[in-house]
Amino acid sequence: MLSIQELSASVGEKPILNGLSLTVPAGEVHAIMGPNGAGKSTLSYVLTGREGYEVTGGTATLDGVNLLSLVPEDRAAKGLFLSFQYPLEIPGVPALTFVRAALNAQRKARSEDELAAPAFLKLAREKAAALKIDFDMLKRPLNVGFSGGEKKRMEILQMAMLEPRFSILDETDSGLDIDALKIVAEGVNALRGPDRGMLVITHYQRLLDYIKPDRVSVLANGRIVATGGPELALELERSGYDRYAA
Amino acid sequence: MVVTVQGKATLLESYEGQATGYLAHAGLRIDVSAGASLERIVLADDAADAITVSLADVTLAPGASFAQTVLISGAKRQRIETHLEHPGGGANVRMDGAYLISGRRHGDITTVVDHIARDGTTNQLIKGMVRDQGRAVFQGKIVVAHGADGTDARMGHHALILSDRAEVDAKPELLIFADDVQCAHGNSIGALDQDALFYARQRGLPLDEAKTILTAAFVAEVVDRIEHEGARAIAAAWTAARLEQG
Repeated sequence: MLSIQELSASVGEKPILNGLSLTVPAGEVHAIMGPNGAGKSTLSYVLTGREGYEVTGGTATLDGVNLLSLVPEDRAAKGLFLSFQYPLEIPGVPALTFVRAALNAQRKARSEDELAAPAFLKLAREKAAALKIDFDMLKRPLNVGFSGGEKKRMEILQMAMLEPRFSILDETDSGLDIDALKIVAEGVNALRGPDRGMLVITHYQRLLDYIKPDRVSVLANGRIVATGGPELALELERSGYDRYAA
Repeated sequence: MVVTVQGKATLLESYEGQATGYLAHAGLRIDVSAGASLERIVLADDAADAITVSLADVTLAPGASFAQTVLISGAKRQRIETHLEHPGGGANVRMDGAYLISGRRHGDITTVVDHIARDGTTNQLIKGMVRDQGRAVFQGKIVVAHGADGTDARMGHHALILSDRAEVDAKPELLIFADDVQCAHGNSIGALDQDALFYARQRGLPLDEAKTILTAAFVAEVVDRIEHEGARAIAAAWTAARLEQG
């Protein structure tokens, strides 16, 4: 599904990713852990095509399609979703309007029919209820004045509505209290499936108690330096990142 | 044309040029009686090669209210100009506008509010977008005459420039000859928020559509201040249509 080979990237003159290789097969959830500054967020931005992140070598494909040659919206239409570490505020655009425009733009790009308003609203109500989001909140401008936890829930709501083939969750646990974390994790787990993959980027093991990964990798100095099963996350929690930070 | 208002009225004025290369000059005189209120909404749509000027002279009686929203999309030369003599005495003025200028068009919103006696309020919000080689002009003058104490006047002008060759010329002027007044003005000119644009594209919105949605949201603040619900809906549709035209 997602295949990254020898990926290198810089921000400005500074190299951040240094030959990173990683494969996530369909049906798997892969956790990426690592110290601050290891390149975790850079990886998510390079994969989604943010400006200012320059690829200097290597490849990244999703279902065999070269992601790096596509503009961000085309990557999204291929089913790539990023839950932002710091979701943006979009003043003046109600959350519902924004999500509907995004959903229909993706469907259009895939030559699918647009979702009509009644069907869309039904879907939004259903997904909002599952994430314990007050439906009236979706009528307010997206993320404007929302708390950190509310913004993270809105990310997962958008993910649930867009049903991406491959999701990257960048520090989705930050800013969440334990109850919100459980709700968010349930939302994420509901999207697991044999055709879908996920990359769960986190600094702490806590999130992985609720979103159980199939594989865990350690990212340090812009490369994957260790990969193992879920037990690797527990070991990192005990021993820290020091031995990878050479 | 002369309009005299008693009671409460809404004036929806629309300029539509069907021909090409014309020259038009419209003049309007508006008197609002004591205790009366008028809301004036102007939609100015002219041919790209037309030259048009509309000049309105507004006089209020003390205790009258006048609220205006001017929406323009430019022409070869297009100016909507309003002169208002503010009698104070609790009279209330809102003097809003928005410009949406594309291609090689030019659009100008000019306003003069003359506070000649004490205790009057004026609130002005002008927003706009220029792209391509468009050029927008905002000239807003608020004069507080000697003796017009207790005046409360606020002016805001905020512009988005969406291309390198587009131009905004802003000339906000506050001329204050009284001592006990509250006057404030704010002026900002900038580009669309790149982070918000990336966020929208990551969700699948094509670049142009993302720009349109964010620009519409920016201008919506002006349209939302229209009190008459029907007129507000017409203005919102007018704005959306102007933004979607390439």
